[in-house]
Amino acid sequence: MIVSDREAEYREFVAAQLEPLRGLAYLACGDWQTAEDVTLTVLARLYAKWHRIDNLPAYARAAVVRAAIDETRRPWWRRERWGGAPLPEPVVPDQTGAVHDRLELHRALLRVPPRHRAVLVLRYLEGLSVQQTAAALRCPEGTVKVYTARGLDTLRRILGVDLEERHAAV
Amino acid sequence: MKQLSDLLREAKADAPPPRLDVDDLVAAGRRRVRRRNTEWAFTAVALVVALVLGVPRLLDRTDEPVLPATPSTSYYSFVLPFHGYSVGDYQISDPSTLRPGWATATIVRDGIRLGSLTLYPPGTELPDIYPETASATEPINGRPAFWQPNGSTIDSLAWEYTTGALAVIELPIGGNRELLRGLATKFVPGDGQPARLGFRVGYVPDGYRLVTVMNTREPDPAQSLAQLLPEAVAAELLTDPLRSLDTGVVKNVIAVRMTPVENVPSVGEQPKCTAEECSMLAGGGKYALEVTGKGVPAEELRQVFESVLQADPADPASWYPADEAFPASARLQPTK
Repeated sequence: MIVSDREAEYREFVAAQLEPLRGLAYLACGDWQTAEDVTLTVLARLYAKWHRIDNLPAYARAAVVRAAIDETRRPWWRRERWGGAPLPEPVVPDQTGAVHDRLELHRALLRVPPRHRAVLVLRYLEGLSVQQTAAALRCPEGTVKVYTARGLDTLRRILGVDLEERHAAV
Repeated sequence: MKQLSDLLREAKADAPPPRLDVDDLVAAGRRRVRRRNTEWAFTAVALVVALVLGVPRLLDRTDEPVLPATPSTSYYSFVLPFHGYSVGDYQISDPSTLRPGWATATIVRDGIRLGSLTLYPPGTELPDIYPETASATEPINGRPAFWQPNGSTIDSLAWEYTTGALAVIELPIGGNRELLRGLATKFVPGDGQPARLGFRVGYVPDGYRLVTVMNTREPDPAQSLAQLLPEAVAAELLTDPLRSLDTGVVKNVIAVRMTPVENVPSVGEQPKCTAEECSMLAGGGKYALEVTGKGVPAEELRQVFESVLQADPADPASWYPADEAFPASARLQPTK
């Protein structure tokens, strides 16, 4: 069986990006199953567009975040296409404290409006600049700045901690 | 002082194992590419054949299933293409989602959703469900059938249940060849019952067309959804039935849905509208009625919401035929 260059490149890309993209989608939508559906849909679409996109990681990241944000507004519309079984509950050792912290953080993130949350994730987790974030979310740079400030403010208020904003690109 | 980047990494640290892997993605990508290629080829071949033959095909096959008559109206009609049935412990529901070009039903056993049966009826583009790994297998009820071992998770069985139309069974959980064949053999196309919705809508903005009718029942609580798209996009669904409605593809969309209230914890007793959503409690407080819109003026959305008349969620017999649940202007015209 001859495996095309495209397929080999695609496989390599998916193997490297599936997990980061799934995590990104999860932070944007707050649900692992939805995050996986979104990621799979975007990656399947990417196969057909291979070699027509200059910056594949950036494209995939932006597409996943946009799709995940939108999923928060229509939670069950697209289940029928992938139609898989529910994700198994994660099995974790008894790390009550860590799990509690994570749940608190999870709840806090979900209280940040979806687009504000997406801006925070892209800037502080992915390290995108204001300009890159604006391009990814297809909005003005000014909007990114406003959403960043409001998102951070919301998180600080909910978590009651001071957040250091290092790692955010300008 | 905590760094936000560290907090975000912590928040996604409990990822469950993924359901699908690289092979599944490659298979899905291949299907997408082939589908697009096949559409053109199929259209060209169909055109040539029609021009060369110029006469109706003589049907002399005794195993051709009898399908319900095509509605005489020029509108696309939301009619169930088959009736739910059982095989042993397995229940195949009535089709729960209908879109131009396909209809899908769930396969359930012991209250657990295991897979789906999807029908691509005559008159729509043949979907490309024949990847390189598919192979012809013993016919189903005398009709050509294909077996597709699809990577690590989803095996599927496809068969041409009538000329130019396909049925596909996918059973990601607990599926095997004999089981899928057993489910397929009992399939009978045709029913003709209209699809129904748990509400009726009196106002739809100009240019929007009904493209999705979706109802879920067992094993899920009853839910009902209608989706409307601008006419031009809706028309594309007729020529590209498998086109998805993902974000970034469809910008303008209206959805009306009735769903158990636990799915919408923020809904209140009084109607409430934001820029992209109107909602209120329905069905004695057990359900939420929502109208959501993307790219739709808020005032238009409010008008749609205020025009909704609910049926009794608990009594599907009181639900409205989907073809009559919206103004005639919202019906899709294939020939237009």
